[in-house]
Amino acid sequence: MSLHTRREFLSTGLKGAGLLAVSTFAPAFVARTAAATGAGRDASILVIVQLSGGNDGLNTVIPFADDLYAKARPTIRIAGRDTLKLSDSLGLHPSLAGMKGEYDAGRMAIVENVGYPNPNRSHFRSMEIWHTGGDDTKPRVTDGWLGRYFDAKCDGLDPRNLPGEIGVSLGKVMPQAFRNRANVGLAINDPATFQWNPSGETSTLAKVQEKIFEKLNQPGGGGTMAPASGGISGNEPETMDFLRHTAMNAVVSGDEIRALLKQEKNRAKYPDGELSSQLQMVARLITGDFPTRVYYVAQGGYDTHADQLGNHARLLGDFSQSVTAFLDDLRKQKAADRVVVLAFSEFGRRVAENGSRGTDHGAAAPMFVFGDTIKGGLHGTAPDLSDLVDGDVKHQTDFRQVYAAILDGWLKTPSEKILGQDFRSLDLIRSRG
Amino acid sequence: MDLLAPLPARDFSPYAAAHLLWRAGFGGTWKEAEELAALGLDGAVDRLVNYRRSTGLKAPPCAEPLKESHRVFEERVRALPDEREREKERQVRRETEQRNIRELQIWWLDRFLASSPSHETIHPLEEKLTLFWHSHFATGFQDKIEETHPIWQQNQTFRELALAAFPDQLRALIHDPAMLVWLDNAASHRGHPNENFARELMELFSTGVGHYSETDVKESARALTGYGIDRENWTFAFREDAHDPDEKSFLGQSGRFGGDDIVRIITEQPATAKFMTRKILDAFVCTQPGEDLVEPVADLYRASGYDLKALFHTLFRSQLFYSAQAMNSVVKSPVLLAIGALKGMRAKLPAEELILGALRVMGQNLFFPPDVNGWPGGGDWINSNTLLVRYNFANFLMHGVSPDEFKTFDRQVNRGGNRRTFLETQRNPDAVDWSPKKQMMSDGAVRPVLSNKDIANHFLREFLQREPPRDLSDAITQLAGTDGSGGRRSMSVEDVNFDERARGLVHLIMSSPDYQLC
Repeated sequence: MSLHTRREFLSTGLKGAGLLAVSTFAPAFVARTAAATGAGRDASILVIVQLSGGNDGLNTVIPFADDLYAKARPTIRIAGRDTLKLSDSLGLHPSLAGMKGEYDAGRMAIVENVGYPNPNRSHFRSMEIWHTGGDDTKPRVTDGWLGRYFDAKCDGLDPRNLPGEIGVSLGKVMPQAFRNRANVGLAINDPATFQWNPSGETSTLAKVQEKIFEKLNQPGGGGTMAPASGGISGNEPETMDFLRHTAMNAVVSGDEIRALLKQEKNRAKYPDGELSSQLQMVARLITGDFPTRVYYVAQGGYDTHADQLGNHARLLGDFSQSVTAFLDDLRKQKAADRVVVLAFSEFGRRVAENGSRGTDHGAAAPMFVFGDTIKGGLHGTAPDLSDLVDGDVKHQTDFRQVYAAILDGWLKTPSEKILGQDFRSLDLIRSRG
Repeated sequence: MDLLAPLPARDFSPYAAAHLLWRAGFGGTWKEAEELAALGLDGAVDRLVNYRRSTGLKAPPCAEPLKESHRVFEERVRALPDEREREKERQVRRETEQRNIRELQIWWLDRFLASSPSHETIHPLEEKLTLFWHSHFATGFQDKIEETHPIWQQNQTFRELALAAFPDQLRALIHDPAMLVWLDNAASHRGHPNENFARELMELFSTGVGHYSETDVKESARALTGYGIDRENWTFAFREDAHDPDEKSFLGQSGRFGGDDIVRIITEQPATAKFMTRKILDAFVCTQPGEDLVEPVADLYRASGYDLKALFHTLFRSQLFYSAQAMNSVVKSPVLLAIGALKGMRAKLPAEELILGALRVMGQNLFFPPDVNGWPGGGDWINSNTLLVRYNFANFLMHGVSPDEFKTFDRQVNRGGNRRTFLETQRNPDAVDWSPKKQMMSDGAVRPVLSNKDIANHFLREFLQREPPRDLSDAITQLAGTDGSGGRRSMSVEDVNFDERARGLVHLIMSSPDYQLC
């Protein structure tokens, strides 16, 4: 963005009185705001919901008719009559009533038994595998699958090419999935703290302070796609560059985000809770045409090693109510056809319960996809509880087949390029008119 | 191993001493750095490493065992006729303990702040290592423990064993009540072993991932069955009837193993020495150390029987530690950032709500690690969110601005867009008391003529404590020459608003990327 347009943006932008009046650097994607009315409306948006800790797939999509299920879980099984029936052998957890409505309307896809070869039962490694799209049969990769998507867009692979676009995570941490060459995604927790404030008692002094602040935090080179190595490498100049990019991105986008959150409204009744709060912000940024296609939210607590039943019910209830409120909100604001929601967890849990009325780390589990433009219903094949490896179900669908479906069908970016090989795309997205 | 050769004594400048203070402790004043430098390299390292251990420290009141034990409480509550009454009692107990754990956080932060190479009883390296072990053996108050006493017990164990040999530390860990509850081992029994603790014991606490099989996890989980606690007084209890005494085969050895055998075998693995060495180097010496450095240091560490004291003696005296590769390569943790700044100001801890709120939003809520992996540290401290919070924290320290955001942080984040902005927030009574002028006078730093550059460099030395990069020095000098109306007017200690302007300089120093590193 040239100095000129930057000034123009700040003076005509939503907030008007921008603080950083003399920046020669701004993340290029913010430049798009000016033209948002054009590109925003046809953009396809992906919202990732991460269920952290390892969601118990077998007590989420429940094979109640299978004797092996009942036998493996003497104290924590859920009886068929209590489930929300999907078929005469399969039912959803009773806390998922809202989602069942989506399912019945054909707007929720359940991909059964999703995993990857050589399942890793470490939270951290398995999470890394899901975030990077690698696995233990290949050399380790550390950049994220969405980070590579943004890099590819940067290289012009995406025909609609929003230059310099980055992912937005509503939370305190930056998901590894966003890590890319520039490593400058946005993590926003509290929009109100998302600004730098001068302290000068007069506006003139404040302006001088702002100017100096900008100078100290001005990334070298000024390029929009930062060639930084991606974070902290022990090399001081690179670390400094990373810090400066992070600061500038935050300050410039913070102004806009605050303005959008103020301007936009939520039109559905959301439950209380952190996931819900995050999704409320995402909905407002979407209806306000904030220029990114990828949002990331997370709900923690799924590591149910002990006394699982009550906790798991509470978690799933929160998940279901928050997501359905979000979809409802978008629908009321005529934005639902632009959004696909993808929910995953780093692994499922052991088939047999442990001695603490809980379950230990397992392997494959179902994934969930929501949206008005997806092909609802059951996808993939159900886990076979009579054919276990190390007490865990064997995966039938690779999670990268789901990523491929999203990349090819929704984000319109060749998945082979992003995932390093051709995983057979699942048929999850209806073609849009 | 040239890199581990000692630094020539003459190179141990006050800047080098300041670097040592940041890494082996929580920073300090420039005066402390000068005093440390005067001891010479060996003397300074001795002072920091050969401290007298804080054994037998008394629990602060907030961390004493609850008057009513878990069992007595449960019996009393269960006898209540009404469910609402029962829930109310439980709520009261929960709130009491939440208040207590916050007091313990403050207690610990006060120790960080008081620690100094010249302090009689509170030693910088001891507290720094206690914090290191808290993150390494990360145990959280929330969900499972929810009592302050076992958390303090564990904290004191880490303190007493801060420089102990690693096998001794691991042995203490498998007997630590808070850890056994946190990772579900307390309820693990033969026939149905819970693998949570056994897995993390290797993956996160010792060998690192990739050096054991799933069978090893299962077998060590069997060996650890029966390692439980007496919930009445939060002490370790070995439950014979729950322990699986049969033969196990673990990492290539077989026997009727119990927990101590597991620790012995784990610490025999070269992978353990490497994993721990990498972590220690990364935290104390240089970010992301290469394998060519990790291997020889790990060999040294293991060959010495994991003598951590000797290792720090070597590292803190080494040329490596004072090399360009190591200096300014570490991102300050939120605790280090906050405590270091307060030390520089010689200020007290801000109001409890504010300092705890600030640390939480910067990503380091003591006793509430994000998960059992602890705080990843390094570049993970920094993202668009936390970096701005760090800069805002500087504004709070210097001008008392923005505490509202720290206070209301937990409430409905999505309303953020409608809240008052910082600019609308006026200075408030919670502001930290600090007079730069008084500090300069008492340090004898006031000379008849002080140029803008002198003033800028004075504060850079006090807070950044390194040779300032040219652009930073120029920028702060420029600001020192700008008065309230934006015009050019030199700063003078005679000015009535000198303190205000000086705080403005330090605010900018702390709003620089340079200040995030040490």
